[in-house]
Amino acid sequence: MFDLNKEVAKWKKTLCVNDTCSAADVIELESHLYDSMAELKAKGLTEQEAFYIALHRLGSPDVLAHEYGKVNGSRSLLNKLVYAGLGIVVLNIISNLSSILTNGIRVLSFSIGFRPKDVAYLGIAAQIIILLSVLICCYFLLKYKRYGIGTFLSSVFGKVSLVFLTLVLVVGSRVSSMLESLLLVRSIGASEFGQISLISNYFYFGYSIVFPMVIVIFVMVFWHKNSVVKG
Amino acid sequence: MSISKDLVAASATPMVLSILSEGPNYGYAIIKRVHDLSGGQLQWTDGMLYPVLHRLEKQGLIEAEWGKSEEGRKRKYYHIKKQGTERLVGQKAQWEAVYSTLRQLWEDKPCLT
Repeated sequence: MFDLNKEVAKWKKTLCVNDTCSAADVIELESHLYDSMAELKAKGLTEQEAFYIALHRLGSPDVLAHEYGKVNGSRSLLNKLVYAGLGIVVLNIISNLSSILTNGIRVLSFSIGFRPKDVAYLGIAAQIIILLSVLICCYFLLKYKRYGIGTFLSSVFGKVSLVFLTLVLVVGSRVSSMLESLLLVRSIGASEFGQISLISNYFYFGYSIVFPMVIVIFVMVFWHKNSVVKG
Repeated sequence: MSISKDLVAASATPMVLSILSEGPNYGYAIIKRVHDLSGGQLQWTDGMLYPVLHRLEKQGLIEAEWGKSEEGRKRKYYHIKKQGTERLVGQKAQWEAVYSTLRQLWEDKPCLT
């Protein structure tokens, strides 16, 4: 028994195996397949006959992948590299900024009168809150991408000043994180600072692994969802 | 007689731009229109149209928008942009130049076959 849905699903899996076309391209080809089948069926062909003829007319997946690759291929590779590079820079900035914020909270809580142990836990809580807020920011940035936040930002900053801004942020956060350890030791005291760092170190071991992983998983899930829904 | 692959590829851009200059349209209907107008002599492998459309879209000549078919399926509609209309004017002039040159060459000779 011919199961159209099953056959279409099978065919869709053979498309874009080399990542040359997007999920939206597959939807477009599928829509074409159904249009083509509808016309053939109107001429009196069975569903199965219409399916195979429509498939043949669309061309083999290999040839299609090759043609799509000509349009998207090198570009998509370059894009991926650029995005990967940008991702590393952004991750670097986020982790530096979050450590500045956390240390600010540590200094503040210590000067209020918290014990070193509690200061360490407060710092950990701050890191987790920062991570969550970064994720929420990313979510909304991606969600409203279609309403032109990206276009708006790029028109405000332009490409050159965006590179400059990134450079300033990276260098700035590096310098300030150097200064802040000095500040911490001075304002908290070396012995208490040591206690706080010791407790925090256990946390950082897990955090440094979990934080990038969470970001990567988040982006992958969102990317997939976005490319299917919106294309 | 069917038209050679190279000629089909070369004529794809002016064909698509001309059809879209009549109004927004989608892939399947564009192919059907080319097929009907050429009396079946211009055979496109259906799937080949889409990379062409995407290339034109990247060049900023046309724009795509998701819509729905009569049956409620997702369908991508394309429409021509200002740059596309301008490009079409240029393409038309080129094709007419080629056509008129060949025409004159063939008219000089009484019979080719």
